[in-house]
Amino acid sequence: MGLDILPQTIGNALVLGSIYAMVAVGLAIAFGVMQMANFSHGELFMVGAYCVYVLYTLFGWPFELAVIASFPIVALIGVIYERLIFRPTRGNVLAGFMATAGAGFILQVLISEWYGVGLPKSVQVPYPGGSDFLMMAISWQRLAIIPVTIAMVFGLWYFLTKVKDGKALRACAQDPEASVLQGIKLNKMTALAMAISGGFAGVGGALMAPIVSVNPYMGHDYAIIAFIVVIVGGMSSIPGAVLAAFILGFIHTFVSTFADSVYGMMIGVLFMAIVLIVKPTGLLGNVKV
Amino acid sequence: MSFLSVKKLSKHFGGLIANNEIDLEVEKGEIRGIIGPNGAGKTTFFNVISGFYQPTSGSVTFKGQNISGKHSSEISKLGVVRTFQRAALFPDFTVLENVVIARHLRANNSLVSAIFGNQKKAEEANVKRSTEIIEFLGLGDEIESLSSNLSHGHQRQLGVAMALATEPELLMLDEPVAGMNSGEKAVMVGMVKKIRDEWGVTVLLVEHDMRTVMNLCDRITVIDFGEKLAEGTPNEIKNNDKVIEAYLGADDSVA
Amino acid sequence: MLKSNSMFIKRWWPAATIIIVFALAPQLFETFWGRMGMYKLVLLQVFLANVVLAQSYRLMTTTGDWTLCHYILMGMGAYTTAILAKFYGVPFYLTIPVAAICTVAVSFLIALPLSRTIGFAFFIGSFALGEFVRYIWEKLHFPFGGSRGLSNIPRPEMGQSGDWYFVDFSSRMDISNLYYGTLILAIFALILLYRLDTSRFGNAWKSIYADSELCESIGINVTRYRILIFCVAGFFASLAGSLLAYQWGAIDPDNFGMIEMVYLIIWVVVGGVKTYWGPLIGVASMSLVFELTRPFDEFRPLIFGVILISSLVFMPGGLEVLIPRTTRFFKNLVGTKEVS
Repeated sequence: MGLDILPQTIGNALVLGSIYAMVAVGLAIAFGVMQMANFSHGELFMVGAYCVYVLYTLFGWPFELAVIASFPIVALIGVIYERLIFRPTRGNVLAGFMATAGAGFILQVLISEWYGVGLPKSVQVPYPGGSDFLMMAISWQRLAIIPVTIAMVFGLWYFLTKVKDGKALRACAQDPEASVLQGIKLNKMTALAMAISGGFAGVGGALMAPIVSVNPYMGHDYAIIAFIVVIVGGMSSIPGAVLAAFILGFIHTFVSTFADSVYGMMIGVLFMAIVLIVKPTGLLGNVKV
Repeated sequence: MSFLSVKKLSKHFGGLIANNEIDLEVEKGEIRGIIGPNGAGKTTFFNVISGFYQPTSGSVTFKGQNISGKHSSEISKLGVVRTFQRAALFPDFTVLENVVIARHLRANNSLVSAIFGNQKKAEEANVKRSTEIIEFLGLGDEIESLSSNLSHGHQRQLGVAMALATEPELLMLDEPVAGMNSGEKAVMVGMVKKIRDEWGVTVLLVEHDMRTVMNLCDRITVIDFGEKLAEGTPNEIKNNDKVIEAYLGADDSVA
Repeated sequence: MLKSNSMFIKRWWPAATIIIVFALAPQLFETFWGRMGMYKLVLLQVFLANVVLAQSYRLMTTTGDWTLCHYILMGMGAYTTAILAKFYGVPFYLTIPVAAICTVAVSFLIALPLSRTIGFAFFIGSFALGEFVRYIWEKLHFPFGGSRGLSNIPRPEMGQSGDWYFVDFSSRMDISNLYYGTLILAIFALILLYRLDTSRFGNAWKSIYADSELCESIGINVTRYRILIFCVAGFFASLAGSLLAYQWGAIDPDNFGMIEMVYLIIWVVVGGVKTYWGPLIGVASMSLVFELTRPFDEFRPLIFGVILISSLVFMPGGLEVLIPRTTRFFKNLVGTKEVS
């Protein structure tokens, strides 16, 4: 195991970090705006993957279109979550969180009923072949994830800083009462936050569909990781989520390459425990949750 | 030796210097007031002494023992107990139950005795002493009322009762008359005097209300901009130029 | 003297009735279902273990700290019991306490990094740390059996055959004896939990939930108490785990996953945690739903998902809030002149 696999491992780490970032940013924004914590965030990821399976594999849409379509589809589910679960339990973070566990069950059963559980679905790889980009031997499919993530995170940054509704979202995250006094509609903001949250998770799942096996329970691992990332980064901090996503992506990839993926998860958890002991609010967080 | 000795206490919050090398000596049995304009750093000072904040530098010594940097629960076990500006109580319980709980939360228990022991006798003694405290403070009529149903003034009194239930030697009152009307204020002043006169508890308080402070305290320490401005008897402070200047235009309730 | 006796009866008759019913269950089951009845007894045993588990979770939530690793703590108890019984032939009256001690140690280790966090980060952190423990079970083939788990866990036995005190758990009679063993341990655990709940510690934990700052000011080291409650709750979870290890006879890491933890939460949310009876109502009602949905078991998660969401949205206090209303209803029916 020489240094020659180092560039490849770094490449894989960047890819993994990107997916983690995609999933975790969704959680961070929902939590930041109105303490909406989604236990079944992994199931939203799963639905995104199924979007690609249905649209690309079953209906023959172009892959890119299927991925783009997954954003509004899963965003809509996010909005439904907000309306039916988070709004009635507003003020009680734990209640909302546990209720979403129930929602996760519902989504799993629905998908299982429509598309069957049995063998996991496989989605053809739209960008076949490996690349030798920068000495990293990574498939094009995986590599494609990085620019998409960068684009989406940049898009979100632009939205939050330059677009009126995005700025309103940030205001809401800082001080909901003051925002209402400024005329910002709280319900609109929470729905928007959940839409973004769902959309990001969905695209994450969509991008991963050709790479991993698609089944109703695939979201489970990503959910755990998303939560660890968000805790390490600071519960409502988006930059924190991105930073932590890449840190944990690197940890997981390197440990998995040299040991195995379960150890990777374990080290990730230990890292989280250390962060909690040293700085309970997370690396970039300043909210005492 | 002073009962409570604070030497060069500083507290910084990042770049903000809330307390800058403040000294304070409190004698046993005195009623000492800390006053100062809004934002002077009085509450921060209070919080550091009682262990709710960690000091940046300096020392706090109680009865010769160093308590700086100790956890608030430890400090209160050593006999220094504070009250809160807000109504701090257990809302689902009656006045008596609140005081009893405050009393026996402090007792050192073993898990085994909690499950298997018979705690009847200790309970009876607790209830007796709690009732004494409640009546001493004039809350006797409300003893069976639900604490959340009390008036604000009574709730603050209950807070003092709960602090007293721990048998403190130094009682720290955080703005004891805030939000009270003049009748309630007079009651609280009488209560604090009684606590010192009849039970020998030393009192340190932070307060805004000048009239109350002048009536109640043996000595007053004035803090402004995080630093000690002046110290002395109420008369001395009343006539101190620096103090008057600090308060100029801010407050017209100076006696 | 008479008055205090009648008050004692008034307070305790529901509990006593339930205990008597459970004690007679084997006979009742045999009468109603014949031979099948004895095998249905296993359901009751699982029910009892679940009640202990749910009560231990209720204890945990007294300080307002909801964890997601509680099922794993039960698993610790199950695994430790299984390992001691299977590989070392340790008798049950040792495996159960030793398992409990080991679980308390693990609870302590999990509680430490969590002790300065609250609310949501606490919840998720407990989840992650619990998963860590589960990964260990999956990775280590010895002694945990890796992902295949442990099977052929020997039934508990007491004494050698020939001794006068030999209780035979391994014959056809064993189902009934194992049941009584479970019942006795469950009653013991539930009594202890009740006494804890009404003790000074119980009050301290409830006070921490009400106002932790106030508690600090009167001498309660909140962090220490939170760690303590974690460990005590873990102790009782371990007892439930030991019971289940003996009943199932085989365990693997998947028995203690997220889904099971969510079901535990459902029991406790549906039943309520404010009163001591809440978890019992929750386990009973949800076990009933579980049995009734056997014909549609692919839809079960969906049904329970809907129950969980409805419960949290429409009745966040749980079913136990209906108790005072129900007792008043019955009192009115019977015509008691009491003013409630």
